[in-house]
Amino acid sequence: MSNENILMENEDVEFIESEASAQLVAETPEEPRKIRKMSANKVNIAKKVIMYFILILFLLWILVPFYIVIVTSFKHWEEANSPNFTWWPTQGFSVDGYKMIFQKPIANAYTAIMTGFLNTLWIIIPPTLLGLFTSALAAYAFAKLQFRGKNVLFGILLATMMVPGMVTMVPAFTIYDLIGWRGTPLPLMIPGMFGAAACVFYLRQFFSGIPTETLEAAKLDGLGYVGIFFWIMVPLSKPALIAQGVLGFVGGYNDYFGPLLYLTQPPLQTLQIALTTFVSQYNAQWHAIMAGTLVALLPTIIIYIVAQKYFIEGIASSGLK
Amino acid sequence: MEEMEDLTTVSDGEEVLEELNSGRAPQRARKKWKTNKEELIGWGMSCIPIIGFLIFGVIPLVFSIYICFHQFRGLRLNTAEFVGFDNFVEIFTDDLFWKSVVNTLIVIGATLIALAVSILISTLLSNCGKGKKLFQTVYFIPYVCSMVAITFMWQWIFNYNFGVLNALLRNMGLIKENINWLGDEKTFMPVMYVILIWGGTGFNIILLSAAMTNVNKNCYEAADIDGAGMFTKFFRITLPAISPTTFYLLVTGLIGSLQTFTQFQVMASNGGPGYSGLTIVFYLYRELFQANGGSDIGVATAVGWVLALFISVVVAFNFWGSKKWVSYDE
Repeated sequence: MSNENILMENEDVEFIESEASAQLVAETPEEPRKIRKMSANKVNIAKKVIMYFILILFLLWILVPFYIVIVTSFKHWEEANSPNFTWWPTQGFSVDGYKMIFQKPIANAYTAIMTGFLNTLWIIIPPTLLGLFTSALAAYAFAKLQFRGKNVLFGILLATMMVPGMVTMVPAFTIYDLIGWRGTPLPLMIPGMFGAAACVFYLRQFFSGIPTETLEAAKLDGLGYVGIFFWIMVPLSKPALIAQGVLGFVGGYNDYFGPLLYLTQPPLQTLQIALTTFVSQYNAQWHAIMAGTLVALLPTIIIYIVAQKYFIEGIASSGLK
Repeated sequence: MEEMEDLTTVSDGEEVLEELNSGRAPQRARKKWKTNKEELIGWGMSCIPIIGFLIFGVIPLVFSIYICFHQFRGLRLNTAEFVGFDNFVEIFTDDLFWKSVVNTLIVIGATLIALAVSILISTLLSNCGKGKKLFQTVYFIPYVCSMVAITFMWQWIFNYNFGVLNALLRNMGLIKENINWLGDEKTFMPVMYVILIWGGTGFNIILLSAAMTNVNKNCYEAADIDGAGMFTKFFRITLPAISPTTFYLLVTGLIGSLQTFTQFQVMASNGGPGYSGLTIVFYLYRELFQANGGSDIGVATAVGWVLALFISVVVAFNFWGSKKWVSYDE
């Protein structure tokens, strides 16, 4: 704002706050700014209104689709499949859609949503936990131990992140087919148990931040390297481990391509595949499809809300190189 | 690094103690102790992920070079027949492959829009006092959602006969006849844009918000004193300060969009109207699981390598661009 502006505003303000304007005449350096602030108040309010308007609009853009899913899932079949969409189940609430997804499939044509959910859990949790453990061990070694060839090994680990997954996918698929792993959950479980390079990097960074003095003290108390890992490193880095754990779990839970390659046969399908086969089986039952969609969405959203702090932490630090 | 050195000195001190107790020659004892414990444990712990990588990464990688120059009947490896570059020739002369390349390049546009929207929203968030946490929490939700479920959600919204959108547009008098959003070549990609943008902002916003809170507040105060406006502050302070994060998101976004698959395959498992939903990875998948039940692993692997080439172009752009555009100074 130019000087002229300030002077003009000054006249308006004069009879409201004569003291301030008197001081302005005396040309105290802080006063012009104070008055400019007062005059800018209206502009600031307008800015705030526009800002909140856009933020709320964006909030609705994210949330309204979920609302449509929820409201459709509680409709009767006739209302869900009517050309006029209603924003509220006007013909009363119905759980028919939910009944359909939880009923037993006829002749094993598809995997029941619940079975798919349980399949996902026992296929995803062991590799997530074990992979987290092996990643943490490696991260500890890279962060706090001295051994020959450490930098070479770390370089190799760096290189693993460069290998494009799409190149190795088909050969891996062929190999798994050859050794009889296709149609079993093993290709989805075993590789992950060896840990992931990205997880090692993240945890190594976190472990490096743990003061070495703490480890020295523990060593003087008679703890070995393994003992230090379990009694010092793990308890001190719980947030980082939880962050990586939940991110790994959510990634595995939502994985579609892997199960699509290896687990397309009904009894073993994961939730994601079970949902797609369910939809192709009942492609006109939109209330049931939306019920299934909601059931598939809820677990990760709940985990996110509960462990939100860890999610944001884990994500935010992954990008700060 | 300093900490590591500290650790060595301390263990050295401890060794000296040990040496004094055992009465052996200091030098020999130290060497023995090191190889026996710290080295062994260090190697044992650090090589587990590397062994996994050798088994599940290197073996398929080497094998892929063999596969892409051979032809097979189905998945039977004993039917291998050397064909040179035929698999690549087959891809490059296939119109459908080029269609998938064009579609994948179009997907990049959605990633760019999502990034631009994320920058706008994060900027507003950084100026937002009350409710910031709520907004941030909600904006991130799509990131944790299953892509399969999300795709069904949008499929329902864009449904031809019963969808919300057609009903809304009809009620507002904007259209007379329902639009066949997912059955028309012209509208299929725009619908996918909506899905990709809806799901693509959460991750960006978290990282950009974190970057914006780290911008030096003094810069803004100085700009205020100089009478800089909102836009000047945004383009001269905020944008340069968050450029490392923006660039990181751009590169990971590009790599991600080159590998887009799930939303497209779930939305239209036949490739969409006029194959307008066929991406490169989708093309690869179709070669691996062909309609007649066969698999052309030679061609599928070759597609994988072509895709890897595209990705390496992005990585090269990353190294070149990060020097040119990103300001890493405070």
